[in-house]
Amino acid sequence: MSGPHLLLANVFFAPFSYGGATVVAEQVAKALVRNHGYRVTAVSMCCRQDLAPYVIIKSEQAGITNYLINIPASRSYGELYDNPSVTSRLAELIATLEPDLVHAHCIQDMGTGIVTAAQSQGVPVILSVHDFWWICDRQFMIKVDQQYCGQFPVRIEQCKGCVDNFWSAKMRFDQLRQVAGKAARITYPSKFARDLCEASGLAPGSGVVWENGVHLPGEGFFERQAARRERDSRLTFGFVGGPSQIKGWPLIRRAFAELDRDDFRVVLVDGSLDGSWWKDHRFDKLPGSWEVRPRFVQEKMDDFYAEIDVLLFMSQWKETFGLAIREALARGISVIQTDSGGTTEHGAVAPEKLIPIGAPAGLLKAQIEEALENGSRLQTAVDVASFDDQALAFDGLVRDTLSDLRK
Amino acid sequence: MARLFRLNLVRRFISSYREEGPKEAFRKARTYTAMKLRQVGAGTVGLTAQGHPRSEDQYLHGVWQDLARKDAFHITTAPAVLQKRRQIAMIGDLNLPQCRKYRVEQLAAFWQGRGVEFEFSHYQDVPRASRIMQNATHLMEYRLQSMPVTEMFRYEARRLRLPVLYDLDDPLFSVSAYETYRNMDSVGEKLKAHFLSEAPKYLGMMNGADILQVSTPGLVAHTELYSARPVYMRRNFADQETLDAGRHAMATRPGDDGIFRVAFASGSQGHEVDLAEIIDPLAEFIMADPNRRLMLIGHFKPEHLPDGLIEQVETTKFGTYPLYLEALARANCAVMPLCDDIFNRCKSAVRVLDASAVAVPSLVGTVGDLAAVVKHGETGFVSAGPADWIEALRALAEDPGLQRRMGQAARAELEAHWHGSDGAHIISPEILEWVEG
Repeated sequence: MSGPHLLLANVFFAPFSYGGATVVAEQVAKALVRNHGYRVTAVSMCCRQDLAPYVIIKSEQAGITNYLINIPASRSYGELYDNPSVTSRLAELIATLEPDLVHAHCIQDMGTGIVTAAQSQGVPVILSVHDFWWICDRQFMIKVDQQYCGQFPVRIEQCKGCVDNFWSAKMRFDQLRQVAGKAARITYPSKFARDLCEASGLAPGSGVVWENGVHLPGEGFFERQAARRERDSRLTFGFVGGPSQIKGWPLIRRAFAELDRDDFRVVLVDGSLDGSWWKDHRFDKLPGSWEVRPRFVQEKMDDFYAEIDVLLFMSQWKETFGLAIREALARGISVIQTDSGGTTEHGAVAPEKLIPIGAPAGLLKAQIEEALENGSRLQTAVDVASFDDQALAFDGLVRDTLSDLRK
Repeated sequence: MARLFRLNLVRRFISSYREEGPKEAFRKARTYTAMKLRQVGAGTVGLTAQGHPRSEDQYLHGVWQDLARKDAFHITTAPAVLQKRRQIAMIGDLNLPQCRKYRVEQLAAFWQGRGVEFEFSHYQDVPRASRIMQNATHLMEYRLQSMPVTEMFRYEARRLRLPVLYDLDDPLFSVSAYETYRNMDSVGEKLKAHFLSEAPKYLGMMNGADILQVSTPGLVAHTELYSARPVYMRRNFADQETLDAGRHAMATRPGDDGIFRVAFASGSQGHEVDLAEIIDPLAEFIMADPNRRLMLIGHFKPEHLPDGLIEQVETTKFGTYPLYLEALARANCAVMPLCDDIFNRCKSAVRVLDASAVAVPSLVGTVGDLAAVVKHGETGFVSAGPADWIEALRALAEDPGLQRRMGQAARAELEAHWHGSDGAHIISPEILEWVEG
């Protein structure tokens, strides 16, 4: 290993993986080690009653060491974005490990202390913004009534009707903007995310778009896909997530309920850790054949994608990227999606096909019917960035940052 | 309370009720209300492992199991290989103040002075002891015996690929030393049997370490009779606290009251037998002049004194280390006899360091490591037999100038030679290499 040593901070990390940002963090870390000779050390969070609060436990999976900081289950509002007990552990780690650079990738619950701790020890920080944690008290810009907030830019004064305590939210908003200004670079997974955050005052002008990669189809995927299509002539729709309004499930259910045909399958993937999201749901009254599958690990995603022809992505909020859409497009799978922020920047779905957020089920129903009529099975794979591509881009950012430091 | 029932929350509840059913809607409402009443924020990280360990020696078992299941248990590369900086975690039995000072806190200052991080923990503070290993490159253990909780620490150290050094300053592992240790006569058969039964537990712990570090050449030789592990020496030395406390004690020394005081300090029970080695010439010397006193500092049973001597005895209880030095500073010299047995042959010279810190000459015998720290005739006297002891006492009593010069020389020698240096007389080069190499 001759490359830089990176301390990668992410709320979750292997062996306790959860969420899209974690997938990205893990896969890019592996690619940096594999392709660019980096040494990557991760720091993430866990929440265990059997260990004392704020102790560290060292783990290692696939050659990457992960220091787990054990946080208590009950944490105050302020501790979610600035927790001195966590910060002291992070400062200790930085002092011990002496990394060349800190990558604060997805640090909700870890707090902004990692930026200040690194800065006080002269270690540069690349900050990566995921979701809207940095500008939204509720992280996803989804209001209490489960409607997308829609502010552009975010003005904290407009959040009075949404947050529990406006002045607490304002202090948070101000502090996070201040801390973000200390990062050497800020990355966003999409132009939409960068424009919104910068317009909202998050270190304007210092952000770069660092597009996420995805796990590309493995060897033999297209043969498996073809074999399945040969075996079963029914068009298969796929949906990844839970039965929540914000992910568009009520819309999907209504659209399918109104269909008057039965010649299709729907495969749902339960994204929960414990398989509880779809546990009590029944699909007897819906047409077609329905099945629920447990969440998959990265290496097993081809098993799911080989089974579907059309991915339904009905998110009712503006997301920053949308991994599942890229994973599907890379596998020659059609996508029916909402006009949901950074998820549309792949350009593979015509703008007029993007279903507006909040639209009635009729628009989705029409596209489902169109897909059923047309077959939607012959689409060619779209060129999508891999994690190797993403790591290569990140390597460039690191080298620029370290070069700036030496000047 | 009004905040709990805002209009948009009611809408959210209705929406959830309609979309997800009453069970889910009420579950979410309960969770939300509980969080607000407890003033808990809505974090991303939820409870991932419930339940508490059944006992402290199982503190790490739950997380070990989870890591093992997820193929994340083993640390494949020793941190000492990956990290430039060295960080020592020391887990020890810190119950004895003197041991804590000379074998733990002193060591912390020594290594920190060399740019090595050093954290220590009492072995019964299980969360702390477990935590300090996670960032460490090396583990040092002090005075631990094999028991479930210490075996758990050792297991964790091996999981983390930490090299392990075991440190000891008494032959607690030695049946032969305990069985012949004459101080044991005063503690009773029951306690002696207890010490003997504990000895294999210390040796078991020692033999599981990579290297052993002990406090004197005598203890090195005796340890090598018991263990095939490499044994190295790290002598106790005068740390900054000792030098500062000594300087302060000298400053508070009262003016000369014409009394000549001979100090004997005893940090634990059973040392009457040591003083007995010289009690006859010492009593003769003290009682020969009404202006002479025997100062007994610490534990001592007066019934062991010869008839009449008690009239010329001053006693001081052991307090804090600075108070102990203040008492010692009032003496004109300090005597440190040791009866000749295996245990005492392993003894360090900490009492000489203490006396030198307050510029008091030391009178020592030839047992243990004490004579190595005394320059005969310059910083004190090394006596081979009873006649030598009384001759040395008389020389000092008759010549206050000699007494002052010797005390000052002892202090100067302490500062020059017996501070926390990396000289081979303080620490074996192999230990420096083991940590820093």
